[in-house]
Formats: sequence, C-alpha cells, structure tokens
Amino acid sequence: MRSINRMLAVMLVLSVVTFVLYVAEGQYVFSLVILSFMSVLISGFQEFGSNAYTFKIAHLYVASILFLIAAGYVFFAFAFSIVNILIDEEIYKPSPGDLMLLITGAYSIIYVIHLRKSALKSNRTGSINTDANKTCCH
Amino acid sequence: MVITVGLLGNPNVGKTSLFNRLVGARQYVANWPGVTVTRIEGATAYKDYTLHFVDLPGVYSLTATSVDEKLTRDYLLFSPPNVTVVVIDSMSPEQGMFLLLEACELGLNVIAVFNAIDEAKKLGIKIDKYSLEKFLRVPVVLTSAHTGEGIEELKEKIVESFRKTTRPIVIDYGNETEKKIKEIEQCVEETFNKRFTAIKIIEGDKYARGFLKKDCPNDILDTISQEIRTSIPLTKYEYITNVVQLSIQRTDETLTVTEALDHVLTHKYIGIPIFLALMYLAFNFTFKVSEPLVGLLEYLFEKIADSVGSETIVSSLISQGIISGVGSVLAFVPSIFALFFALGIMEESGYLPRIAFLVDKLMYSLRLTGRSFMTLLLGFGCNVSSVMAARGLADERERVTTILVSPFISCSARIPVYLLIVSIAFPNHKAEAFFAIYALSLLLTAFSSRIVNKVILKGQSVPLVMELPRYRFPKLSNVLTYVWNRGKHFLEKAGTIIFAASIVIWALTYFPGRGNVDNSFVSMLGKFLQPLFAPLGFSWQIVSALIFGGVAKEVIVSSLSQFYGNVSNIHFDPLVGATLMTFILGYMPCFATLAAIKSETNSSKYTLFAIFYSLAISYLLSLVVYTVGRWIL
Repeated sequence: MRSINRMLAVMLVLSVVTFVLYVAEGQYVFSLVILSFMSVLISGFQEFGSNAYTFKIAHLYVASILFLIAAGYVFFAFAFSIVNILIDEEIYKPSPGDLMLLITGAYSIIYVIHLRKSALKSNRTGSINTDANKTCCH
Repeated sequence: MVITVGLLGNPNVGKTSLFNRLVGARQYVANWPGVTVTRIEGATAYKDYTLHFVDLPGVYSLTATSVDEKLTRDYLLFSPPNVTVVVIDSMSPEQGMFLLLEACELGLNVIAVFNAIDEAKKLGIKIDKYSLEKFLRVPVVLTSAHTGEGIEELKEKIVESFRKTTRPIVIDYGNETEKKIKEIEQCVEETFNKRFTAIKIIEGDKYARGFLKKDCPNDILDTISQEIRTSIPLTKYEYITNVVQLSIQRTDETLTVTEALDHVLTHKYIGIPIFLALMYLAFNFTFKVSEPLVGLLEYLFEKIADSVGSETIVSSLISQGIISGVGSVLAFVPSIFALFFALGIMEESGYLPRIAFLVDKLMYSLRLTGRSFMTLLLGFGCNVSSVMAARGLADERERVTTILVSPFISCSARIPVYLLIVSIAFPNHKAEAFFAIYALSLLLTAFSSRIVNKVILKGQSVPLVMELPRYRFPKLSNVLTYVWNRGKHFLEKAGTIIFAASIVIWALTYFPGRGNVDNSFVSMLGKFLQPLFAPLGFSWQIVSALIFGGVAKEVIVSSLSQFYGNVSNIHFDPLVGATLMTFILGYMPCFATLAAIKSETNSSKYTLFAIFYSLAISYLLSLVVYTVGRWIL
C-alpha cells in the first residue's frame, strides 16, 4: 500500500509542477487539461476500504495513460513542425511546461508498462487450451 | 457454384471485421454496438466455390423491434442463406449462444464462430471447441478477425456445411410448454419453420402472431401462462450456462484493464472533465499537427496559381477558379485527417461508448438516450451517416428526433470553413475557438432535441440498455481505415461538387466586369441580399459565400478565396468570425442530408422543418452572438 501511495505522490508532484509551469506561461486552457488529469491522481488518494489498493492502481494506471497522451501530443506537435523548414517558418519551440510534460510522460511510460505487467497481471496469465484432446472443463 | 453465407450475431462482436477479413473489404468497423444498420454484401472465391457473404445488422434475438433488426429477421426468414455463420464473442458468449439457439430453431444451416479468440487467450479463457460442438451439435470455429486465426478453417467449414447440412439441437422446454408449442403449431400458417413461429408467438412476438390462421381458436393466446412464456428464455439460458460451464474455463480475475479504466473514466465526478480534456487535446492535435502541412499546401497552391497568372480568361479560370477555388479547400485535408485520426483512436479504443454512458443522464432529460448520442457522433463525419444510422434506434420518436437534430452536428464539410475562420479571426486561440464551436454544436443539438420533443414529438425516452465494449489498444490499420472512410468523402466532393461549384463561382465573379469582383454578378447578388444580414455584420462577400455554401459547406471556403483573390487576403474581425461560425453551424443542411432526411422519415413536413428551423435558429443565435459581442467589446 505504501508503495502505491508513493507512486501516486511522485506522479502528483510531477503533474503539479507541469500545471504551475503552464499557468505561469499563460496557457490557462491547457493547464485546465493538466488539472483534470491531476484530479485522477488526487481522487486516487480518496480510495478507502478493502479494494482501495486495486483502485489506487487503477487511478495511477489511468493517470499515467492520460499524461502519456498529453506528452504524445506535444511530441507530435514538435515533430510535425519540422515541415515548417520547407516554407521558411519557425519550428515549434517547446516551452518549459512542454518539457516538464514530456518528462512526466516519459515517467508515465514506466508506470504503464510496470502496472500492466505486474499489478494488472492476474487476468492475463495462463496458457490457452483450444485442443479438444486435452479435456478442458469436464 | 455460389454459396450464400449470412453473418449473424450480437452487436459489436466483430461481424464486420470478420466480413472484411473474409472478403478483403474495408467496411467501416468501430468498437461500439450498432455500427452496421444495413446489409453489406461481398464475395470471395474458395476452392471451386464463390462464397457470397452478407453482413447483417447486429441483433440480440430474432424478435425484432428497430428497423435494422427487422432487416436481419426478414432476411433470415424470407431469403435464408445456404449457411448462417453465428458470430459469438469469445469473452462473453452467453448472449451470442442465445441467438445461436434461435437460429437453430429457425432451421438454419448454422456454424458457430467464437470470435476474438486472441483477446480471449490474453485473458486466460480456455475454450474447448469440440465440447461445444458436442453440446450445440453445430460446427464450431475459433477465429480472430484481428489476427486472421481460423479464417481458412471457417471457409472450409462453410463448404462442408453446404455439402452436408447438420442437424442442430432442439431444446426441450418441458411437457407443458412443449404441449403448447404443438398446439400453436397446428394454428400457424404454412410459411417458414412452424416450431420457430410457435415459440415466437408464445414469447409475445407481435410479428409472429400475424402468422396465426384465421380459423384458430380465439382463446389460444389467452391460455399462454406467464410460466410458459418465461420458460422459453429460462430453459435456453439454463442450457447455455451448463454448456459454458462445461466448455469454457475462465481464470480468476481481480481487476482487469477494462475495469481499471472504467473505474476512472466513467467516474461520476471526474469522468466528464476527463472527456472534455481529451476532446480539447484532440482539437489541439488537429491544429498543431496539421498546421505545418496546411501551410505547405497553401504555399504550393499559391505558387502554382501565381505561375499560371490571370491575364486572360482561360488563365484566370485555371488560376482563380480551379487552383485557388479547389486548392483553398484541399489545403485543409491534413486537418480533417488529423481530427479523424484523433477521433478514430478514441472510437477504436472503446472510449466513445463510455461517453454515451456518461451523458446518458443528460440525454434522458432531453428525452433521448446515450444510444442517440452515439448515432449523432457519426455526424462528425457526415450528417447523412447519422441520419441513416438512426435506423438502429428502436423507439420511433427517438429515431425521428435524432434524424431532425443530426444536421446540427458539425460534419467534416464544415471543418475547412471553421479552420479558415479561426485562423483568420482567432490566430492566437485557434484550438479554443474550434473547441467552442464544437461544444456549441452539441449544445444546439441538445436544445433542438428538447424543442422537437416538446413541440412535434411528445413522449418519454426508453431507458438506455447498452453493452459496453472492452477497451483495446487501437489497431493502426483500423484507425487508418476509419480516417480514410471519413476523409475520402471530402476528397470525392473536392473532385466533383466543389470543382463544379468553383467554376460556376468563378464565372459569376469574372463576369460582367471581366475580373473586377466589385462589378460582378456575385457582387450584385450579395449586395442585394446583404441588408438581410446587416444585423449580423456580414459583408456582401460573406452573404454570397453562404448562398453557394447551401450546395456543400466547403464551397464557402472556395467562394471566399475567389472573392478576395486568395485565402491570405481574407480578413474578419473576431466578432464577425464568431457570428459567422455560429451561423454556419446551423444554417440549412446540405442537399445530400435533406435527401436522406426525406427518405428516412418519408415526410415532406419533417424535411421542411429541417430547413426552416435550422435557418431560423442559426439566424437568431448569430444575432445574439453579434449583439452580445458588440455590447461586450
């Protein structure tokens, strides 16, 4: 339980920094997007009861995916802006908020892979028996 | 020799994906129920046979209520295929097996296909197909439309079944019910399978009751007790439960990925903010990713037009009419494809149906359901699609309401117009303005639903019952097919309607002033009607462009580009830009949508309503935007 809380806290800190940077840059609408993703992490701390652990994992997993999507958007915006060289326009320069979001996104990849392999592993194990000679369920 | 093969199954079990895999087609597939609302046919050669596949709209039972369900039922009853492939979801097979038993009762030559076997394997589900064959007494094939597993085996089984018809299982419903079935069978006309008709009559199917002989005892229906009526589905499900227990083994589950995602994404407090945030990201993605490519295309078209020049009539026609006119619209192709790419990922992942679930409460207050919302979302591609897809709605009032409000959903034709306006009027807040007009589109649709249900079609909605699909990692090929299916419509229009309209507009702009726009037919028309639109702050150029936009909305871009020389010469202030976007959002559906409304409602009254209501509401709303905007600014 302590480790999942710690992971949630790390993600929360990263997202708060990202949020503050976007607010400081005057990108208020985009900072609202980050805030709504942050709310997934905050509500993760509100999970109590016998299933709290698994639901905290769910919050961390979903928040990681959402930050990954947001970081992916920034990355693609930068990548496609390289075309601007052809028409003498400027390439998209990532702001400090963008860079922080990319770091958060990179960190999210670790969580997404880790949680998918370990915490949500139980429903993905077991070999399949589609061979009728090996009786399945009788 | 031709073998006709019907693809039958519950909604969203992958029938169309299987169809595409079998015949090599690229029919539109999506990760939500109710996508196929009409019959789709295709053929492939196998050995010495031509396998002619018919993809049928998804049904849960052969008792039909909606238009698309009736289509499936009528096809199976009156022109049964040589072989019927019942597609069943491997991960939740119960409902599919119920349909299979009904198909067996109808006497169809059936093959059971347990689809999405690859996903079942990932979930640790073990399926013993020989055990299933033993209990169901029909050939069973395990397939994956995703990976292609089992496809060749399915073709082989189809040929085998065609050569040698199997004797499917006959369910015994117990003495009392069987006695009643026999009794009713005597009273049923000689049509299709008598036992099937008798069972449907007992279940209360109004359509089946139409096949009762006129001379049968009057009290025959009154003597059907509730116990007999319920014994039919209960016996079937009891049998299915036993077969599933003996043939399919599921591993222990704690928290699946779908459960984890649903726990957060459908959360009652944070679900909607996440949805809005994701939509905003999708619109931002549309701009940021496509902007450089749009800039490049505009640059190329301008260079080509400049090189042709406009000194003579012919060169003016080519540079102004064709290159500038059509090119100004084509330049937005990357934006349209980028938006559909983002929406395609949301749909393919299974997230969009969750939105229907999230907004169902709101939709119910508008006397619609989340299912209508899903149908309306199809309108983001083309309004004709959402009008047609409304066939899948069982409630007639809801169906007609959905058809009438569909034109308010911003279709792809409006995207280039919005993109042009926001880039001119809101250069620093493009994504926000684009997001706002889409939000307004949904609000106007909701408001209009309320109006339609208050004034024209009174009544209450039936509650939403919808099977949520599992989340899955979006398959790139499916997303690209989605993008292409939506985007190609735009390209086709660019080569036909927009091309023709651009030439007509060029002629009206060129004559009689020989290139002087201020002394052209188009200027005369615009100036004549401009006083009507003066309260909205529209110039004569905008008025003329709006008139041409009645044919197809993209023509507005082409028109403005020609009236101003090229796109870079167009100027609006933010207030006129916002008013114009609001007007375009609602004003008059295009001709294709009007034709679809007429054919689907079979009513001139509703078609006229769609024209006049949309014109009136868009004018009023634009007036409010302009007046309030002037007051604030």
